[in-house]
Amino acid sequence: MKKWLTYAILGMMTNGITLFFAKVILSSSGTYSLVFMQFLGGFLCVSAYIFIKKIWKSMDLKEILLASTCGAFSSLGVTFFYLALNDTLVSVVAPIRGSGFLIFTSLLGFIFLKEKITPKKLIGLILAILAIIFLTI
Amino acid sequence: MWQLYTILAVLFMGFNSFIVKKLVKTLNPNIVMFYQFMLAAPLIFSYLLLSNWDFVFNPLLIFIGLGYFASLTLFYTSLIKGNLTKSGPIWSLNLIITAILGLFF
Repeated sequence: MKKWLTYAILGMMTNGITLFFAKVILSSSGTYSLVFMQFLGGFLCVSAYIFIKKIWKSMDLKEILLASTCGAFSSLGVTFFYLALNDTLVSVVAPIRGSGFLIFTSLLGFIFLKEKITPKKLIGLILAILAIIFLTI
Repeated sequence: MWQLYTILAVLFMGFNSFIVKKLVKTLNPNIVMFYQFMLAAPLIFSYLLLSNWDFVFNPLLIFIGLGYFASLTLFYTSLIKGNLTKSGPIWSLNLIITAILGLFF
C-alpha cells in the first residue's frame, strides 16, 4: 500500500475516535473549553515532537502567515463543528461534515491545484451530495 | 442552527486543508502544525477570557489533544505525496468511525 494512503487511513481512524470522545465530553466540559484544550494539547504534543525529533526549520513571513491562517481556520472549523454537535446527534452531523469536507476539498483541488477530474471521482462527489441530501431530509 | 454551524465547519476546515497542501510541499507537516496551534490556542483562550469562561477539567481532554495531534500529523503527512482530492475524501471517512461509535455508545 502506498505510504500516503496508509497515513490518510490511519489519520482518518484516529480522528474518528478522537471526535467520538469529543462528543462524549462535550456536554460536561463545554464547546470552547474543549476546543481550547484540543489545540493546547495539540500544541504541546507537536512542540515536544519537534524538540525530540530536532526537525525545527524557520519559515519565511509568507509561510508563517499561511500557517497562522490555518490556525484561525482550523480553530473556527472545529468550534463550529462542536457547536453543531451540541445541537444534534453525532451520527447526523459527522456524516454531513465528512461529505461536505470531501466535496469542498475536492473542488478546491480540481480548481486551484489542477488535480485531475476522473469519472470515478465525479461519481464519488455525486454520491457524497446525495448522502447529504438523504441525511438532512 | 446546527446546519449553519456544519456548513461553516466544512468551509473553514476545507480551506485549512487546501492551505496545508500548499505548505507541506516545502515544509515538514509538524512545523505547519506548530504555527497553526500557536495561533489557534491563544485565539480561543482570548475569547474564553473575554466571555467569562468557567473551565471544567475532564481527563479525556488530554486524550483529545493527543488524538488531534496524531490524526493531523498523519493527514498532513499523507498530503505530501497524495493529492488533496484523494487524501481529503479518505480522511473525511472518519465520519464513519465517529457515527458508528455514536450509534453504539
